[in-house]
Amino acid sequence: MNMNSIEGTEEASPVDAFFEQHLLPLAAANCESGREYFPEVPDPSADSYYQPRIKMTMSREDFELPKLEDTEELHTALGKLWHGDDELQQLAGPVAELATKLREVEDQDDEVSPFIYVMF
Amino acid sequence: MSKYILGISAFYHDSAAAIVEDGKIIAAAQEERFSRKKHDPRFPHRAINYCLEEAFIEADELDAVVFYDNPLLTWDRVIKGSIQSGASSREQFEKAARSVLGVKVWLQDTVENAIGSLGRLGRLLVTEHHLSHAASAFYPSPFKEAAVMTLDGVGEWATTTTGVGRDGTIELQQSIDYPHSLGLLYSAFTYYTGFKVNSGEYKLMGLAPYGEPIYAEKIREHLIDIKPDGSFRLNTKYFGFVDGLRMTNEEFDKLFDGPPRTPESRISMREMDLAASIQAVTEEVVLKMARHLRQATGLPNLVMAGGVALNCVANGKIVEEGIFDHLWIQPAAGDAGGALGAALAVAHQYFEIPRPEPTGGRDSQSGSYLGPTFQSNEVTAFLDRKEYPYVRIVDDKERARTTAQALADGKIVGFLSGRMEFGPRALGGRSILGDPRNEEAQSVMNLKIKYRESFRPFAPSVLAEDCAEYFDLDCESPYMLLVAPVKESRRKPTDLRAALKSSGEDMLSIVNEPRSDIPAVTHVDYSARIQTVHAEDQPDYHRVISAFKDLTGYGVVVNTSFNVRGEPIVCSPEDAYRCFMRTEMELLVLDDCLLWKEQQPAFEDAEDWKDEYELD
Repeated sequence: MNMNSIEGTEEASPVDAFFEQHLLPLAAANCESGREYFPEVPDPSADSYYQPRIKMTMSREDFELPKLEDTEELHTALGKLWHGDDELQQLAGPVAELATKLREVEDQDDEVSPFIYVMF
Repeated sequence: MSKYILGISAFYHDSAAAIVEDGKIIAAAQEERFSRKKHDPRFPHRAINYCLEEAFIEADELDAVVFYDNPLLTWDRVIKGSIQSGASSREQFEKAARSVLGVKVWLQDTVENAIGSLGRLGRLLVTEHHLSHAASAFYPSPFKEAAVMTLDGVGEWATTTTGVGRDGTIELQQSIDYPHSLGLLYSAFTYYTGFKVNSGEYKLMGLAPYGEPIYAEKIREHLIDIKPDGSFRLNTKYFGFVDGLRMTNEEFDKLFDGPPRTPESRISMREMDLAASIQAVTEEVVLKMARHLRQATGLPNLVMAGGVALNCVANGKIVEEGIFDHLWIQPAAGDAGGALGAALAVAHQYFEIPRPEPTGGRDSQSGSYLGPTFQSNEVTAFLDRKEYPYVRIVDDKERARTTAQALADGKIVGFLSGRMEFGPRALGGRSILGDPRNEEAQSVMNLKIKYRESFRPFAPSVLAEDCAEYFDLDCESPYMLLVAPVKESRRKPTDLRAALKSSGEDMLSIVNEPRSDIPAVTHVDYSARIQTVHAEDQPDYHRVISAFKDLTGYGVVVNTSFNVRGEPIVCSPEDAYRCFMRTEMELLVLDDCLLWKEQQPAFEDAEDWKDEYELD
């Protein structure tokens, strides 16, 4: 199986293809540059782990989820969300395409493992 | 013209719907009660239909529909978490992508297709997950202003927030973000001790008093760093949830010298000590956070929500230590309550509808009796159609006396009265009742009625006016969210540790040892999870307990949820009858109709019902 090509993996999961093609290279680059999105271990020198919130209240606009009816709208919304982060912005299009491929009616019988907190 | 707002929580666990009219709560219910699938996470079609019926409106008459968290921010966390974890997160990413990208980001379509309208606004609104929790705690509370604390597993990025609620506004000022989560830490121990994550946390809390916190220091040393202000950070190398589909990993196993307990296998002293240890650490964090928040805000009132706020032992410690003058906790503190919070947040913060003035110092949660009710004629129609024998007692006092006499005679009673509760606790609307004086009631009710583990304690429902006679608690606890000690004068001396050792860690023999003159509701550490019953909230239930007091001198009964293990709490008379006939309950009260077991025809139960419900 060609793990670097979506076209070459028609029978493979589109998620797996995305993971190989987009996510792993970014993970490797971040690993090399030492970039972390969140700390993974305690910091004994810190006085507190509370983070002051930049935005403390929700404005009317914050309540209004962008219209997400097609790939383009999702692409735009993700681009806006990741504004200022070039690496993630480049992923907005592929993520929107992946979401369109995965778009489905809720599976009424899909079970999540009872051994994990349902966090996604 | 009134403004109607529908709140929805779904796709995580315990999906629910709630509807508010001009900021007043009209109805709220969890989908599981209608679908009969415990913790049902699916889109809450049935709960929404019920809410619209209760409000007497059609979907297109809604002013707004709001979802209780933001799927784009959740996706932001998922993808960043996977990028950071790299190759090891492949399995988790597959699952998360299908869930978030496949379903949740297209939420607007799902809602519109399901209910046919997005209301007059014509677009779906969303709140931040923790604002939903905060709003569910602050707006229904009896306080004009209060400190706010939310704690759960994770919602979008946040796992913990603190802030202030004042009139119609909530400011969330500080947060702790994923993966550093007290809820996830507690759930890791839930998994490790062999219970089911998301529902077994309550069992772990109930198990804790059997043990000693001998692992607490190890937890502090390796798993969580707690600062004096209660903020904390986990060491993620011990947890599987960061990149996989298990809560703990091999490092965790090494730390505690072995693999997780196999579910349903025998519970040993090790699990009891682990439970006591994580409970001690949890209480330490919660108490430190509460002290910090009191100091930072200077406010005398605290409101709480989020799954960790269901830890009624920790809540009881906040009260016991007198950190705040008053405490109010949303009874549907988990994600189901997010539906209500989201609707209230939109009412007050989006539409800027003034918050209704709390009246008489009481909250606006209406005792959390926010679900469906069944009128007498509906009950009799059901019973007549099925030809089930019953006695109708229209006189409220006589009915209460008959019910109380059955309890005093040692019978176990199923009790369905008025509106169904919103939240995980049964509060006398859908309850199984027993005599708290009965020494064997706890184990009998566990093993013959609920078909669940024998160690789990039952809660007392006590007349609010009599609470101080039985318990060291000097505030209301209408939602069974506070644990407090049974009064010293009522206790009988026991030595738990010695008894456990001499019995070969046989918890059944320990449970049956009387610890007070109300043994069925006295846990092994002399604590009790208290519901104070107020006549204005649920008059029928108050009358039964009052009648029981007239007969026995005790203004307290055993109250457990009306279900068997793995089954959602009953909703309808039909659900109640089925549960009644499958168990060893002897009397069923359905509104003003009483059904005695010995008079019922043989119950034809085609299903192998013990397999019907997945173990919780």
